[in-house]
Amino acid sequence: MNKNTVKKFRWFWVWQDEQEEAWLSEMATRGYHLEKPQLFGVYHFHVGDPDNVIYRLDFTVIGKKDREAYLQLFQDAGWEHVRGLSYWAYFRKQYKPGETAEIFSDTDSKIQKYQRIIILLTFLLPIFLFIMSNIRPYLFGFLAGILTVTILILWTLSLNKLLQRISQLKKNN
Amino acid sequence: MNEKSLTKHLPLTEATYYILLSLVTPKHGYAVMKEAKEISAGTVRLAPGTLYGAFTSLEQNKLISMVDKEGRRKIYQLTEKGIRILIEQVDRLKIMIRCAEKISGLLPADLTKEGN
Repeated sequence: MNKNTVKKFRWFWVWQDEQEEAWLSEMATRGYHLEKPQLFGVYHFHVGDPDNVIYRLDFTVIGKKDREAYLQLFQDAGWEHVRGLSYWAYFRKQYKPGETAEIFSDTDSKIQKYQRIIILLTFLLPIFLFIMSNIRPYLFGFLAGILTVTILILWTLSLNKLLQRISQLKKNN
Repeated sequence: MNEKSLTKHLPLTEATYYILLSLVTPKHGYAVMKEAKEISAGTVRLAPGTLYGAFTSLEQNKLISMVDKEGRRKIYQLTEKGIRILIEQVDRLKIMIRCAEKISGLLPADLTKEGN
């Protein structure tokens, strides 16, 4: 690993995208610039000069071909695509006073981002439960049971928080 | 095409209205962003995430379609359905303007002056 690169650990839940954006901007003001987000809260940073950088996260489920056009549009609009992590896309832009710092210009499209997350979570749950129900009970039954309950709790919590975000956005509209 | 399939899209939001106006001639996303900002006198600024979502749903509803590609950029244009909807919207706006002009004589003069 390059010696100008550092790894940091920080956990964000799926509904904490705005906190994650704020944290990445704050890291940039200290000279840590995101290079690669990884699973389980690991972030690789390039160490350089402190800078005012805006980070924005989008969540999309799109095919490879559409993805090219999608990233090109962001690039044309002045956003650098840092990297993707699963369905998340990490964008950044140099802060300039008077220039828009948002990747969404209306409330509806902000809400649609959270709706896309909810749809994916809803789609994944039956798949997870199907896999769990097929684990042979006499061997891993107990562990599978604990894992299933944990995931169910987290799933409910995530859905609840995301729905809260949506109703907040609707109220402030 | 029946009347109902057109009117269910109306009224258009301000953003959609300017996107459709821009796409009377073929354009890619960033060109739409610039055009919408210019012709709306700066009142409509489309961010890329919002525009991408709008393109997706307008394409699904067949108001616009991809007509060409320029590198990785997709070029869209209004479909016949899109044109009909835009014309219908413009007609409605004209009625709104006519009503306002008719009624503005009844409004208190000090509130209707320019710049107030």
